Amino acid sequence: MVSEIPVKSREPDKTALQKRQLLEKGKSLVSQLCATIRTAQIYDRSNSVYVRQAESLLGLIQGLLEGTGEFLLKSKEGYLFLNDTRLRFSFDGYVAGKFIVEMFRKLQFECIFFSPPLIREELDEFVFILAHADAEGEDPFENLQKRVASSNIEHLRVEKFAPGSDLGDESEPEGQKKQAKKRFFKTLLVAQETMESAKSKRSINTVKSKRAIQFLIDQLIKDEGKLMSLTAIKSFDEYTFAHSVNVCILSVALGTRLGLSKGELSELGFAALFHDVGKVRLPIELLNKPGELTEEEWVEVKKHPIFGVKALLSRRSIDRFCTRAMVVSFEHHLKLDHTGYPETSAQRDLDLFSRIVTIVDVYDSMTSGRVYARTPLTPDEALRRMLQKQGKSFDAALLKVFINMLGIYPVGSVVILDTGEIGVVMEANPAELSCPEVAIIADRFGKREKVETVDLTKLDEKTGKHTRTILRTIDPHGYKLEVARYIY
Amino acid sequence: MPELDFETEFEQIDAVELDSVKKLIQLLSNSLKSVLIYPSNNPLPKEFRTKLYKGLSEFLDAHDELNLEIGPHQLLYGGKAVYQDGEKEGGMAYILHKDGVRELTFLKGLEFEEIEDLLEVMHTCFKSPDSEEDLVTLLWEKDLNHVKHLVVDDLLDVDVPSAEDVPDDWDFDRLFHSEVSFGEEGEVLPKIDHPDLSQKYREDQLKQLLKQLKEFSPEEVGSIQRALELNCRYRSLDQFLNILVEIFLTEEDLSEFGQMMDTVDRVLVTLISMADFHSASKIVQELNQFVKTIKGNGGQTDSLTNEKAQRATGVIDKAGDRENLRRMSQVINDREIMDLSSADAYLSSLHWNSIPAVVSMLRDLKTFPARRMVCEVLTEKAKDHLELLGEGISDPNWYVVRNVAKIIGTIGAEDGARLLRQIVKHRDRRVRKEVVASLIRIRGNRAGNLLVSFLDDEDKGIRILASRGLAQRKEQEALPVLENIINDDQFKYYPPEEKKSMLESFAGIAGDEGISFLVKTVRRRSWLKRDKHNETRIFAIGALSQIDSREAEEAISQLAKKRNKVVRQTCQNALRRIESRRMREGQPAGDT
Repeated sequence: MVSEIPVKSREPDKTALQKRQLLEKGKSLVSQLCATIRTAQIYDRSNSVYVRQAESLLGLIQGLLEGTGEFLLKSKEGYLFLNDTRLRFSFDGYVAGKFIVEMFRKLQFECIFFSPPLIREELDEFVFILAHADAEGEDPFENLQKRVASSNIEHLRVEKFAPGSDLGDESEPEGQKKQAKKRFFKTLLVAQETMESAKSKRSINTVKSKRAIQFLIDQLIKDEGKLMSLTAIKSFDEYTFAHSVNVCILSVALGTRLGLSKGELSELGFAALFHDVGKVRLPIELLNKPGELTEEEWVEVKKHPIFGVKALLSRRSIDRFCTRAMVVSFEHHLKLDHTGYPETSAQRDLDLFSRIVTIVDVYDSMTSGRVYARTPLTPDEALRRMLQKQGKSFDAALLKVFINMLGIYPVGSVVILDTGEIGVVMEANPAELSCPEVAIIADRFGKREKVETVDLTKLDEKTGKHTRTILRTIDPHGYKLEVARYIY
Repeated sequence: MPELDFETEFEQIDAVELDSVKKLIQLLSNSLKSVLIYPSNNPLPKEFRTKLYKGLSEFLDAHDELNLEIGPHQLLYGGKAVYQDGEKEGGMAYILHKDGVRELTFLKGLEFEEIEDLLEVMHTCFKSPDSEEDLVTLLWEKDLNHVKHLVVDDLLDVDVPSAEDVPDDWDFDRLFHSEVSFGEEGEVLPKIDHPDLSQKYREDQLKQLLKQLKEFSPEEVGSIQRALELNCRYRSLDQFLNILVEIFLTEEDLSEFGQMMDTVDRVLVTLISMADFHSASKIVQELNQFVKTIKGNGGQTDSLTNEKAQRATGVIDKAGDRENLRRMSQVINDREIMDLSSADAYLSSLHWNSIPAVVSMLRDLKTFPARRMVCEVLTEKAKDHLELLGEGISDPNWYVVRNVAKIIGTIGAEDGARLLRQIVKHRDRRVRKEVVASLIRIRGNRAGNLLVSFLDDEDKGIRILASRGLAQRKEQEALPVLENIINDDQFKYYPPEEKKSMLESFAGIAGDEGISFLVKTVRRRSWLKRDKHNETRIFAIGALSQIDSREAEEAISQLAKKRNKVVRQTCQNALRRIESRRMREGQPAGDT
């Protein structure tokens, strides 16, 4: 006789319900922890705004402690876990989740233990230590732990990364960057190889592409900044392939913010990588033509979405990846209001993935400036122009999520700061869109010394105001400024 | 005091552990086999899974993790083999190893659903080892928290271009002249001359933009949530098919069109092999729609259109050819598919010329529900093409013939009798019985005549069924035959239920016209086997009572005066029954 499956399986409804409730509580905890820490970065302990946030946080923690006893919030491989349960965030909770994961990563600890009976004073101390912890010191975790130990905190504790658990070689920023580059270039090679097959009408082997996309997704989940910054480099030789990889990365990053599952992200990445596969059937002279296209040439170019479907159709078998990619290839120039191409007889809603790829494709094309010989736009200018077309060419809500992801000064933007310094945006800050990480490439006197990366969220201790803010962006192409040098 | 033999003790512990791992891997293998062998509704696979889950959980409680190295044909635990593939290629180790998995690790906290997911992935790769399904991709997508896999991949063996390749010759001075004011040390910067870039204006603009971007209205949140919900139910194949038809319509290159048709053809075969009849039916439906659209395009049929229509029709025809439908039957049999609605949809979408191939499915399908589904499809499909069922009529398998006979009866068209004529003498009584049932439902004289011929069938049940059917149809042609049977000297020896049926059928067809014949039958004398003869008389009186007319009642009243006690009593009983029946119906006695 086979015994019943233990309680932790998905079989009993009651357990599933408890798990769902725990998940919801966990997500609320993360959102509230993020809000409280961010409030603590601005206000002092007695401020009513902070008090309200802290009370809510305490209520949530105590609720969880009553239900589960001691519990832990853990970060692993870019995910957050409440005990053993992974917390999945959709687009509305994504920023908070990412904020907490980043905090764990920067301060180099793996988990926070919560145990009863936690009191407000302890929580306040703990939150303020986290809010003002120095992530740039020699050993952020040791500093943090010292501060926790020297306070009166008994029911909260942090634990460092377990050996070999999460960071490994990639814990160092350089290691992460190296990994990101390798993954980027490997995908580039795979895209090139696959499209060459499509060009010579050989059957496309999709396994390699799927694997490469998996690596990209894993990298994006762990640390999207490094990979996304590579998309800002527009000077790779093979434009079509680099563009395809950029669209793939940015689409998957947008999908991650929408809370898509790994399977869905994988399909989205595949569809995005091959959205322009039809271009391999266009004459190379047409793609590389230096001037404006003639009417006849445009007619040819407009065939590439259909060529894409045909190229993917030539595979030996058609799986869900291919059918989705064919849909996206066909629809990515249709526009939301169907005023694009190719002409269709039926009005139907565009696939979610097509709407995502449309946004990303246009953004990358506008900022690359290689498509049909247009002049490249600065990233913020491209976004501004896209906003003017929201609801017509682009899904307005998705475009908003996209801009929230890139920031209003996306990676690669060259900016003038109110200090007179010139900088290149290195990484967006989803929590504060106007305060990205910037590499200062020249000081206010025009001197170009060692490049220093600064976080624009930093506040002046005396004034409480930002030490640097962005005045505006400039067009690097006008000054032959190659931003790739700084990003790469 | 003897020294402890640590090594021996260690080896003993190791051996116990090794043994328990071997048992667990055997359970894993059995669980996988059970999923492959048994249908999804069979309880055995679940029992195996539960045992495996329980065993693994116990092991992990004690050891925290179970790490398996994957060799080309074996699994190793701590460097020792715990599983070996069989001689045939395609064992558990082979499947894992071929896609690059080199380690599989189960971690403490393993959940039952993770076991199910792992088995599902392995099952997918097992059932179609030659497909492009990638085990690593499938495992990765499942995103299992407590089952980790290590993959050998050359992904990170790639040369990354160095940063030196990027030029650095930017027009530094011009930038500072035109965009950034040079300032003396200590001077407040920047000196912005553009009025629009004043601090106040800039901050207001920025605040407005940030507010617009950061806050999502309920409509925007709703629109994203709706899009995500739709995405969960999204079937890219449906959308892809719509697109494909769009492309078919506009395609002007016949060779490209032909290539696409070849692909559709291949896709159909794949879908059928994968039991995805829903998608296959959608494809055929879309092709049908496409042919209809281009043919009905204002009557303009140029050679390109004709050729395209012809090629698309060819694909539809191939979708319903014998080879494809044999494949479909095999899939239904192998997987013991219970939900046949999508198979029904696929067969329904095929052209009428597929009828003979669909009929042959009646021979290939093993289960009754599957054959019933095919019968239902054929009943619709063959309405205007009865002649195409002919192949089934001459099939050597009695059950095929019976099913075809049933289909013909359900359709009920007069022409059906011509087909059924070929099998009125079929050797199997089950077929003949079905033929009688079908003939009863078919309109026209031809069916009636054929039904009459069954009064002579060697099987009593069939004769009875035929006589009742004739009565139901009020088949006048049957009266002389029935009279002959009843008048025959041997009739009294017929089994009672048959005698009853024949007499009642006669009464049912003849009505008042048959009263004198039935009275004559009652009055007829017989010196031999009087009890058998009396039995005939009783049934004849019963038949008279069923005519339900004043004349019949009168005739029974007259017979009730007979000296024969049996006849008299039977008639009295019959009259009482008539009276009570009339009372129930609210009619005065003696009135019809």
